[in-house]
Amino acid sequence: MSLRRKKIEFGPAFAQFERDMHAIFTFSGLSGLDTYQLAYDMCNATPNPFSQQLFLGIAEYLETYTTGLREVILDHDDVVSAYAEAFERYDVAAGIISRVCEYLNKIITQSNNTKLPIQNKRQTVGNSIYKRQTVQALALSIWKKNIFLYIRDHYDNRLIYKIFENIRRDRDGFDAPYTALKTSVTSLVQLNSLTDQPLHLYIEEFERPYLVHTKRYYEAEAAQEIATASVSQFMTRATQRLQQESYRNYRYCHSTSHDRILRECEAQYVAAYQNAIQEDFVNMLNHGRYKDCTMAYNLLIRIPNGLQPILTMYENYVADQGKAILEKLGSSVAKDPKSYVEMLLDLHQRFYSLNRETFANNSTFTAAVDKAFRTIVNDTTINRPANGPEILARYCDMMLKRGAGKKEVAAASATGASGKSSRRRATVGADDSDPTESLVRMITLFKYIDDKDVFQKFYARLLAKRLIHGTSVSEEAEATMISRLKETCGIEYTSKLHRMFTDMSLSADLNSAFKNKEPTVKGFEMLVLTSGAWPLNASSIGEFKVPEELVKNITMFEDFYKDKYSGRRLTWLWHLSRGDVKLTYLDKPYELAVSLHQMALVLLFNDVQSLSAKEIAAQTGLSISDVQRSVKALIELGIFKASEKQVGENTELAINPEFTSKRTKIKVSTSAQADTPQENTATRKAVEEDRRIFLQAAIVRIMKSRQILSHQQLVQEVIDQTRSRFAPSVPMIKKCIEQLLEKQYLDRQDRDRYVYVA
Amino acid sequence: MKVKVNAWTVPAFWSWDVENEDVCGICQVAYDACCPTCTVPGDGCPLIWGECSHVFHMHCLIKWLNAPNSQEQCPMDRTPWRTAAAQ
Repeated sequence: MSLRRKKIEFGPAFAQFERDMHAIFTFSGLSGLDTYQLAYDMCNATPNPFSQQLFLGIAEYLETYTTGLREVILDHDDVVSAYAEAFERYDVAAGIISRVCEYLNKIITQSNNTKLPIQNKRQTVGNSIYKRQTVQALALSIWKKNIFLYIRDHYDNRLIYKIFENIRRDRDGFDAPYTALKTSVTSLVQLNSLTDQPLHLYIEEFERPYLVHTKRYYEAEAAQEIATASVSQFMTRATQRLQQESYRNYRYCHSTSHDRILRECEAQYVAAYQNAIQEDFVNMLNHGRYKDCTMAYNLLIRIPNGLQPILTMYENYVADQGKAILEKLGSSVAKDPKSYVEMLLDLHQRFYSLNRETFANNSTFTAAVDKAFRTIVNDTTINRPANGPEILARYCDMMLKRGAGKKEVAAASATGASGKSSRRRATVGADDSDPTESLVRMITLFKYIDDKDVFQKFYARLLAKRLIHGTSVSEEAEATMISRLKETCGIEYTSKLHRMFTDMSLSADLNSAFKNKEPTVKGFEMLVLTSGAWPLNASSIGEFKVPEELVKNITMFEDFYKDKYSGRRLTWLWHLSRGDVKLTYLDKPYELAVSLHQMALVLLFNDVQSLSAKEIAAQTGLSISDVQRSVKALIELGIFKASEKQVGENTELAINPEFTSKRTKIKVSTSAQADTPQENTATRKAVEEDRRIFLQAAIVRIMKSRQILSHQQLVQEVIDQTRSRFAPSVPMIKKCIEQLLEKQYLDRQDRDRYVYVA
Repeated sequence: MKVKVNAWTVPAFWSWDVENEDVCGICQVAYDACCPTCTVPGDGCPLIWGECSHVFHMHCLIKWLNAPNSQEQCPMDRTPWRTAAAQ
């Protein structure tokens, strides 16, 4: 091509250009490069370029062309398709022309009038109505004016009307000209694409009325559905509709309106009837209609606060299930911690998988289950003996005690009728579950416990018994459990438990040192325990005279100990001692595992045949009640004979020379190993006392750092600091504050303020 | 001998050889418990006896003796502190 400026005449040149242009618009062959040259030449003509005339000429052509096109479109039966087809071609052609007139576009839009002052800068071309813009923009604006707006204003908006009608047919399930609809709707975006507000036309002419249509359509449909169908069917329909609408969005609409349109559908289908869905939710759960639950979840999550009511229902439902289990377990729950733990864990597992499968693992549902479980394990109003922390501690004891399963069978058959079922459970449990595994699972429930301090107290007491009586299943299992507790509650929580283990290993060292020094001593073991670290009541030791045979060992050890550690004192815990004795006077030798009290008692009969209870008491130094307690198991086993059923002061006791048993090793149950109600009360009391001290310490700590606080703030901070250990009651906090006021750690200021007194 | 003892196990508490229920003169906490900085009683938090017959948690006393105004005296009777020899 040639870039040289030429002298040409506008008339014939434009006539040629117009012919080419027409060829392009009618898609009837075109001579691209020539037309390009022609446009360039016109814009560069000497002496005066014809760029303005060319632009106006094009405009004039387009005006005429589009007017003609409009008639064609309107004549057509299917306006939408005709419009879409015409627009598509027009858009392509306009693009080509615009590229052909590239040079013109440049002149018109940049313009040479940079020399003119700004206020004189003309926004239109010449004296015409056309803005300075590219030929493409010009073509689009002319289409908009002559076709779209004209139809809107003079033909009752026939195009848009038809579009809506087609979409309605589509919604009703009939075929619709999808592509034509898409092109027509998109044309609204396209028409404004080169202006300052690219989406204005689309939003005003399409989206806004479309939303109204959508609303009306679904308002009516949803009302009809809810009236005639079940909630389940209604939800299925709603889910379907929302899904379809989402496809429909992609099919027809610009991406900016997708959300708005869906919101409208949700408003009509979900928000308007959320109550109906929510009300049916409990039924869905009760009848295991989990598919419905998922639907309800997926529908309600779409609207603000839609899930809240069903979350509450869900939480209550889970809590009710747990409460039902507690009720079923009844008052025997304290004796059967295994059922408690296993049933609740099953329940927990069930709802966690339900969350996963039904509620998309939504964290709010997990939180609801957690909240429900917190209620279950902490609420003792349903079943008073079902005290979560205590039962969990007993469960741990059961899992960590050697032969716990077997022992349970014996106990169960001894107590009679109720034994059968629990025996089966106990033996099954002992066989098939790995205790460590079970304990790991137990931690799940443990985490829900508010009163972790109660658990700790019971756990410590039961651990103490396991260690002293040597019934622990293995040191490793114990250590694993304690490290789990440490993970959950921090190092302070388990420090006393650790101390107990340290004492055990120190005692082992001490024993071997003692035996090295006194090689004659055999079969004697002692455990030297730090008095403050073990949850044992030293005051219940009671009077006891060590049997003569044994007293030498004790004195030897006391001397040995004094030698090794000065400034220390030993207090022997006779009531917690145990031993093995061999009976040689029967058909075969029997070995009995007994308590020290029982041992002393049996040893008396080395010399005599029979003794009254009173005499036994005198010789052993035990109280009558201790004698009664110790002798009971021996009578039950048949080792002793008693003259009266109810052992009293004057009951004669004798050894039974005919005693026989299949087993040669017999474990005599000792009262010290069983839990007594007094011990439980003592444990609870100890918990109360610890809490009081903990609260007072917390109050002093808080006040020391804050100096002045109102009552309300102080209570709140105390609760915050205490939460990880237990849930303090406000009256208890008040009482502690009062005690501190009395002790003058704090002082009152005004009516409800406290000041720290240094 | 019809009955023979094969083996026996006896647990015992050890505590500091001081008056029961007495408290450390410095921290006012029981001797059997531990000083305020420790968490577990026992070997880790021992007592210390002075020649003046006063007894304290060792940690408490060390802290006291390190304080400038203690003048290395027993806090109870203000005689120079001397640790008693083991009995």
